[in-house]
Amino acid sequence: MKNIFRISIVLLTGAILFPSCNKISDPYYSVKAVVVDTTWRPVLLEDYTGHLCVNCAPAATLAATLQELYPAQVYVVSVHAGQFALPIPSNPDFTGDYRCTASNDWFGYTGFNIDGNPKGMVNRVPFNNKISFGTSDWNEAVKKVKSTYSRMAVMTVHNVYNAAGSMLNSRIDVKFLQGYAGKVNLTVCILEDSIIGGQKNIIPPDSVPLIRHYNFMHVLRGTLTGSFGDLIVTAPANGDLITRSFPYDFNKSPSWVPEHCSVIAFISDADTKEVLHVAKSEHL
Amino acid sequence: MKTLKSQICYFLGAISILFLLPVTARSQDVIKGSEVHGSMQADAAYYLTDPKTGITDSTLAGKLIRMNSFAEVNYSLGNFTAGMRFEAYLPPLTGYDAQYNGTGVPYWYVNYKNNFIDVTAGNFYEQFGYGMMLRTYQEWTLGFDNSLRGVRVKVMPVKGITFKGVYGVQRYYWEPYKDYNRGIVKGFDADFYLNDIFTSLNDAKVKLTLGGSFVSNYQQGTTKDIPYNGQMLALKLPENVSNYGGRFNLNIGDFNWFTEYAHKINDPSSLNNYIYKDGDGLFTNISFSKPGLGISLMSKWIDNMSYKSDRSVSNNMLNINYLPAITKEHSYALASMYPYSTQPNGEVGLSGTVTLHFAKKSPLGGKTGLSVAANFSQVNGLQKKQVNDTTFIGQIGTLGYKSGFYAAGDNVYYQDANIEVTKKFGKKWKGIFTYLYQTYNKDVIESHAPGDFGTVYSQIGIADIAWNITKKHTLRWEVQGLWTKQDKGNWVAGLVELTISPAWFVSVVDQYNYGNTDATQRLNYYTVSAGYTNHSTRIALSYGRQREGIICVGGVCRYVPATNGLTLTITGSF
Repeated sequence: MKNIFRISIVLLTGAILFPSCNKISDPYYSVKAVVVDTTWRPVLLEDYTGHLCVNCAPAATLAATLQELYPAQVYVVSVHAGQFALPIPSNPDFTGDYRCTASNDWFGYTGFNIDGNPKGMVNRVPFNNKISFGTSDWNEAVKKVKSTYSRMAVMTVHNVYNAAGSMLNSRIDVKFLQGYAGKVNLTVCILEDSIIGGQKNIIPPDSVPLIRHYNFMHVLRGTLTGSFGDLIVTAPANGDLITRSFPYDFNKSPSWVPEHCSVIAFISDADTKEVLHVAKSEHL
Repeated sequence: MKTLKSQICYFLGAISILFLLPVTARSQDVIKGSEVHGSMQADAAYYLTDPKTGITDSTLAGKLIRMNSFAEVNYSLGNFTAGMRFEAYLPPLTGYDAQYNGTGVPYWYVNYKNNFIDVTAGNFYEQFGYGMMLRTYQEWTLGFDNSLRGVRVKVMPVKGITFKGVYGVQRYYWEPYKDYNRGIVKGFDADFYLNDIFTSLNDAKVKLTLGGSFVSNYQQGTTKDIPYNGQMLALKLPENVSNYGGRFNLNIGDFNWFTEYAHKINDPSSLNNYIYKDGDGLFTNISFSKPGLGISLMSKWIDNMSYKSDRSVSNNMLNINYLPAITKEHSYALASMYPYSTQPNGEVGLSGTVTLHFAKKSPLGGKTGLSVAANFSQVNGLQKKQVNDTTFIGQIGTLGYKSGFYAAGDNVYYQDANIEVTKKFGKKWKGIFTYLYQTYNKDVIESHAPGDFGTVYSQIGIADIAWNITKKHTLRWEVQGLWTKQDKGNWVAGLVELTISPAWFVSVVDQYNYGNTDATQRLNYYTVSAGYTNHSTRIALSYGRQREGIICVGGVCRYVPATNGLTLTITGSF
């Protein structure tokens, strides 16, 4: 009798503690309407990636989808850096070197805490207490930034490209829509699309392709400013207008295809690196 | 920039601290009747550049010296036990996840037990049955640790009956649990050994054990937005995912039959591409043994059985369950070049092993006896069918696919046929001769695109000869060859090892990829090693080049990059 009592107590405890399971029935999802509101602060999504990283191709697809879903709201920069971005001269699939000074500087900046690939930053503001985080947080981080921060400025990127001389002149106009108590840097980057090369990849559930002719998009090629920008103003007031021009000679970078290049510019807090506004010109 | 000399000094200084630990710490009576035991290991490496294998200054990124180490201490007094393990990855050795970088105490516990109850608070490792519903364990060589932190209670109400309950969260590198950042695992297990429960069966020849488990994982969040195909899908998610099943073990004399079945409810995750199909797993092992003969047959059916406490994690971490491996794990270098990695999304496998020992003075045994072990295993993918005409197999936000019970597909993932003959030649000579034929679907096992590398068919021959020169001196050498037309082509390997019992060994190993179609990659992978053992402390130092590859333990694998340099391993226990 004592034994039956003991066993009953244990079984009853188990029955109380562990009845938990949720069965989901079809339909398993709904298609969510995406609201694009131009009064929100635009988002810079930095995708830290590498051609040797098996999870980076899906991350790039996710980033591209977010940019597609939020036109003129989300801007993607693919930052190739770290050990997964290293070229392997002896392997013809991975001879490409898509790193640059800025990508190495950003990757190595301890404040960003980029400890692997793929990692992303959304306007360089923390999400769930992390400044950089994995792909599963990108969508939520984008939504949070867009809904939390009001629009700081209006920016335009105006390019004049002389194809004969391969000379670019990029003019950036920044007009502040509200005052800001801090130092503001301007960073101007050149991105290149349609670079073809090998990319290790994982696509659940069945296989992980090594994509021999992967199409790299939004690849950060370099900056026309310092890696973390140039100081343009301290404590700007509402209505302040700042203009800067940046020439660049594409002859210095013969491997770049100007027709595939674009210019993206963003202003950021000089100390915290938080991105305050971003704008892009799709073509030179 | 540190000089080479200063870096070597730093390297030797760091490991000497760990070296001294097992020497200075001994079992002792802190309180009368109490005991202290522990163990430690330090794996340190000094890496060199090696352009032929793609190792350059930039790949090493200045981190020339790396170390993985741990020290574990357990204290017991009567029914009470407590322990902890300190770990340091400064930084982790190449091939280990960079998220391990750091130091800390990821494992500690206190335990009280008597004949009725066994309670553990803190971290613990636990296994229900064979593990298809729950198994937490640590595998140092893989950098794998999925321990639970919480509470475990075992109750033995009567002889032959054991109930277990676990409740906790799993380790994820150094990331602390907070704000439901990963799942909460709850589990209940019951085990009934009928021969102990019923006194009339105490002495029965037929022995039967029955068991059952129920595990549930709570992960916060009922929806997840996933951008897909130009749309934002709001997936409905089950916050509580259960995995349950039963098992039996039947023993009749020399015959033993163990079987475990597990069923998991819908568990959309990044690993299964967020499909909602239920999961199933069946493992069975029949064995027979008597003097001179052993037979073992195993089979498994795995269908969508990845079970993690965070659905967004796709690497080895946060596994709640363990999917059994049925293929043979080889220890020889070339035999283990193409190991099998369990495919949690689906596989069907069969394995059989026969071991024979012919006694001395028998017709086949001769003067010294003869042992023969033959093993065959094959694993295929699942036969998957579309759920309907408009849904492709594995499509996100659907049931994914249909597949029947033990429905094996045509795609062979792995096959291994091997035979091993062990023979003594007189009192001083012993030989082990092995032949293997392996089929290795590199695309699937290493997760490449179908057709990128295809399947590797290899034949491997190994001769392992040991010569006991004196009672203290043993000379052993191996000659291995691997022949294949695929992948990196043919290999040959050799080893010479001198052991001076009980303390010293020295060995020279080389693997030569003479058949590589790329002439620049016909490299020698040589290693010179020496080791010293003093009671329970062992120190081994090696220098050489390690080839790129995959290391697997129990079907769980880790990628090992090519390295070149000096490696020091210290292990100890007290």
